[in-house]
Amino acid sequence: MYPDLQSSPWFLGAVIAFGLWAVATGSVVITAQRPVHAALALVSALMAVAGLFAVLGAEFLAGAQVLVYVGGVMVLFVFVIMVVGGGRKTAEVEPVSGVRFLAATVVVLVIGGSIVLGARSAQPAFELRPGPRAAASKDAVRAGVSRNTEDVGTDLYTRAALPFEVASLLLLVAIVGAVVLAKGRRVEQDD
Amino acid sequence: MSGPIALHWAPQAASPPPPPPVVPSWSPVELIESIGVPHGFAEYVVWPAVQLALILFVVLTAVAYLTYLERKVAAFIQARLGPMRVGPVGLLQPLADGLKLLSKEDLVPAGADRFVYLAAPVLAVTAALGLLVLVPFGAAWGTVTDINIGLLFLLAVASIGVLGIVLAGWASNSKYALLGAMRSSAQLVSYEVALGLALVGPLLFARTLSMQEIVESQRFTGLWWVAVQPLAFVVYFIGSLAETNRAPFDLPESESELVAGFHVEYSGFRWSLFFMAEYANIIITSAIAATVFLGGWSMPGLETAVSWIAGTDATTPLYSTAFTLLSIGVFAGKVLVLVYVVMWVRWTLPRYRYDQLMDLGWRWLIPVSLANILISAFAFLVAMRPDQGGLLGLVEVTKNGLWMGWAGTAYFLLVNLATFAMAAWLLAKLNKTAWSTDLHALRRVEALRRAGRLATAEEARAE
Amino acid sequence: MLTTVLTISGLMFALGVAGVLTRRNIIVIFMAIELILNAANLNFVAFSRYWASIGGISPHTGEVFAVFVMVVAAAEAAVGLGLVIALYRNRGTVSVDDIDLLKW
Repeated sequence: MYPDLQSSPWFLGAVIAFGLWAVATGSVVITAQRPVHAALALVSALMAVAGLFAVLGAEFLAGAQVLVYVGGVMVLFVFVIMVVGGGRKTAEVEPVSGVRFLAATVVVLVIGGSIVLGARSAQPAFELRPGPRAAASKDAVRAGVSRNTEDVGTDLYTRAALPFEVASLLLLVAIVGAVVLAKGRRVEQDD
Repeated sequence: MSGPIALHWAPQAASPPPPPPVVPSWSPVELIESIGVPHGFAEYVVWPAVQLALILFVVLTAVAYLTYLERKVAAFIQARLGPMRVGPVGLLQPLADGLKLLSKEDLVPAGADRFVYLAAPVLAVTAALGLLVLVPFGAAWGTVTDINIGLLFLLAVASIGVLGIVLAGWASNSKYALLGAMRSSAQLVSYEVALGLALVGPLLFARTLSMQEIVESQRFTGLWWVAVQPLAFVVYFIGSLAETNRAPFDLPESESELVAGFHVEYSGFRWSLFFMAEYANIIITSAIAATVFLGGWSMPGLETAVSWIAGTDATTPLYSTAFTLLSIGVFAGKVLVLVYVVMWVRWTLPRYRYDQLMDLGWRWLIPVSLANILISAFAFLVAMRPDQGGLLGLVEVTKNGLWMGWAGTAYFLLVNLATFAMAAWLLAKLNKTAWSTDLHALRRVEALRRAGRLATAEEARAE
Repeated sequence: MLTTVLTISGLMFALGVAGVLTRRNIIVIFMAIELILNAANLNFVAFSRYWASIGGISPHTGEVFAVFVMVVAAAEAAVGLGLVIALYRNRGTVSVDDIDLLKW
């Protein structure tokens, strides 16, 4: 019913297009003068990454990425930017001085170069046949529609059940921590 | 899990599961192919483009007329007439409004962040209209596309529209707009949690995220998920009101305290973009509610009605067309009812105070939806067939959806009514101090206080 | 194919590190950290895909890992932004150059 995207020549094109989009907006994130512009660029970069996830067959992650990052984390970021006075121009202008710029270039060249070289030297064949699980679930309700969500869910709640619980604990701690930190002493004075 | 603990006296699902409900096979793609368009092109380019154009036209018209409907509903509730002058009973009012807005100047306030200011309404409206691709408007060819993460994708893209509102408020360089944006971001982050958690309940029963399959699952079981998830429906509805900035949660744009909140500085076409986004969002949240809770385009007796018109052969173009059009009608009817309720709520309830809003979100809706998930999942697990890991065998998980006999249906209805009652009672106990959400009591207290003040003033004057 | 994705992720990682090292606004530094985490996620997904394509068992491990990375990222953002707000309230600044009390 659906074309097998991942076996078509469009696949590499889509990966490269999303990749360029992610890298371009990512570089805007670290060079933008105003934090809000950086946040907008980061939203764009995160959506490009979500697109990469979708192209790579991880649809659930793509959805979760947009939902968690754009809907949750980035709204929080923008909220905090507004709280700490992102509206005032003087507070947010952040000139990238020469030394810092040089450092950035060196970092990008060294880290990026070594990672890229390492990736090049490996050269494993990346064939995009459907995995064994996907092939086995061909008798799913609608053949051809990926069961990625189901598979990730099964893995998450069976093999990764313990880390899942630990993660929920971590989130609880984070909630409490964030509330305590952000409330501060002001409440005590009020009471 | 399975095996020895099976209770053999338990009522099994009475009959074997029926075959999946019929879905017409013909689609207009064949029509397009018959005039010589190659198959892939017709199915993936031409036909979706036609559908999208149709949907955009219909929805944008609907959005324009929703503003008219809103004013008429408001007038009806306040015993007025509403717009009456332009055209018969004011029917051309949206057109006049649109022309007026288009001819106005597109202002950018001094000191505003120009790029963000101009981009924000576009972001909001793009997110809202982009969602339309995934809404299952009807059976067969009534839907543009159906992806396996449909519901997740809808929620995710809806949250992008939130950013449009927040950024608009920030970029306007105005304290009212900034306050509106800050309220908006806090409110939307809080209520999105409750909204998402509320949708997990029906998903336990639908067992898929794809919108079309959610409808099919309800059609197969013969039950709308609102029947087994009433609590989740209530939470979802409240959450969707907050998510679309509708009264009583219209704090980000409350006209009586923040002038117009986040869009106070906008004018002309960009202002109308915000309104388009708002009304499109109302349509979409109502459409999600209709799909997930109210059976989407399915309706008992739909197949019978179609067979009256087009016979029983599901492969004919006539059958497919009749089925699709009728199902679209059913879906539109459900969505319109929900939209009416949204407007009704707006003109009935007073606006929440900010702390009351946060109270409602964090102390009522999120605990309730969490408890709902827990109890529903437990009840579901108990009711499953022993060989599928359950206990009672009241419900059977099949390839096409859930199959439950009358016993299973009754069981879930009872369990969920009990959940509803228990949740309400427990929350009322736990939140004894949260009286601040009881607007009625608040107003009474305020009236009593004022009476007391008047009495003391009276005494003072008498002395 | 794998190399293409790894290259993208490597570039994103480098950009993130560069952002952390060069920016002064602590909020932007947090954003750069999100870039780094996303680069890691991209690697996880790419290798998960690769593992599935060579027929490895449990081909979704990488995606499950990415889910946990997202959880950690969300928790980090919540606590981190709470810290920023507390900091801003106490010191009136979000510039890391001005937050140097522990130096003395």
